[in-house]
Amino acid sequence: MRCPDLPARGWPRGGTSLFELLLVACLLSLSLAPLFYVVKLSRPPERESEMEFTATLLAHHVLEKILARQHASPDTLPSMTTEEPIVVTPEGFRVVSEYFRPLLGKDLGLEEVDNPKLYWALKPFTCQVDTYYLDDYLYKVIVYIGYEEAGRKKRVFLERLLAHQPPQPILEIGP
Amino acid sequence: MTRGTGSLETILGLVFVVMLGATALSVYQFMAGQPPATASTELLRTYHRLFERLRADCREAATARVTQDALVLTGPRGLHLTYLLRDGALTRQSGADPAQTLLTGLHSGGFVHTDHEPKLVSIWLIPADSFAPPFFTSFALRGGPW
Repeated sequence: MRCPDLPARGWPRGGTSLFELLLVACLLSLSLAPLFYVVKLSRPPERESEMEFTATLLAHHVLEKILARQHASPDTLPSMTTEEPIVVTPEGFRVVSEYFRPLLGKDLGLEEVDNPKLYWALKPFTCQVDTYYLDDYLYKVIVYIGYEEAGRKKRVFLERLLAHQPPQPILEIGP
Repeated sequence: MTRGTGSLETILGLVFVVMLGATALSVYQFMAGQPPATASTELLRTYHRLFERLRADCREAATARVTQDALVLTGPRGLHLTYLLRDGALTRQSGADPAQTLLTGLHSGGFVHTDHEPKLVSIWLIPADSFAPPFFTSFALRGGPW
C-alpha cells in the first residue's frame, strides 16, 4: 500500500515541511563555510609596501653585520637587545642600536645634519634582537625591525642560526 | 504532514544558484582585484633585482675596495666586479664586459667599507624623487676563507 503523500516516483510534490526547510538551511550554512575560504583565497595578495621593503633591507643589514662580526671574532655572539632606534632621536635619551653605529662614518649614529633624506627615511624604524641557545651548539638570532604603518604597529623579522663553540671542559688535576 | 510554500527542488536550485554566484564573484574579484603597477612598485621591483644581484656578487667576493663612487669586489680567483655611481646612475661591470645600468634617477649614494669590519659592505642610494624610498642595506663578503 502506498502513502498518499508520496507520488509514484521519488520526492513528495507540493510544499516542503519545516523539518526539510531546516535541513536545507543547515546544508546551505555548511556550504557557506568552504565558500568563505574560496572567496578569501581568491583575494589577490597584498603588494609589499615601501615601509615593509625598507624594513626587510634593514633586517638584512643587521644579520649581515652579525655575520661579518662573527667572521672577525668567531667567539663573539650577538647579545639580546631591547627595541632601539636606528638613528639619533631628537630627544637624545635613547641609545641608537649598536648595529647602526657607526653608520656612514658617524660613530654615534646618523643625525639629521649628516644626510637628511636618509635620516628621515630611517627614523620610523626600530631594531630589536632576540637570541636563544639551542641544542647541538647552535645559537638562534632573530632580528625584528619595527615600524608603524596606517596606524598599526608592524614588525619584519629575519632569523639565522649561528654555530658556537662548545664550552671547554674543566680539568681537575689531582694529587 | 505540514506543508510549506516552496518545493525542495526549488530550494536546492536556489542553493546551486547561490554557490554559482559566489564562485563567479570570487573569480571576478581575483581577476579584477590586481592593483595597477605604479612608479613606486616599479622602483621596488628594480630594488629587488639590485638586491639579488649585489647579494650574489658579495657571496662570491673575497675582498672589497671602496672609492668615492665605486665598489670593486674581488673574487677568490682574482675576478673583478665594479659597481659605479655616476651621473645619477648605478652601473655594474664585470671584467671586460660592457657596463650594465642597474638603476637610474639617483640623487646621491655611496658605498661604505671599513677596516674595522673588512667583510662587510654597505650601500645607500637616495632617489631623485623625494617621495621614493631610499635603499640602504649591507652584505657580508662570503667568498674566500670563512
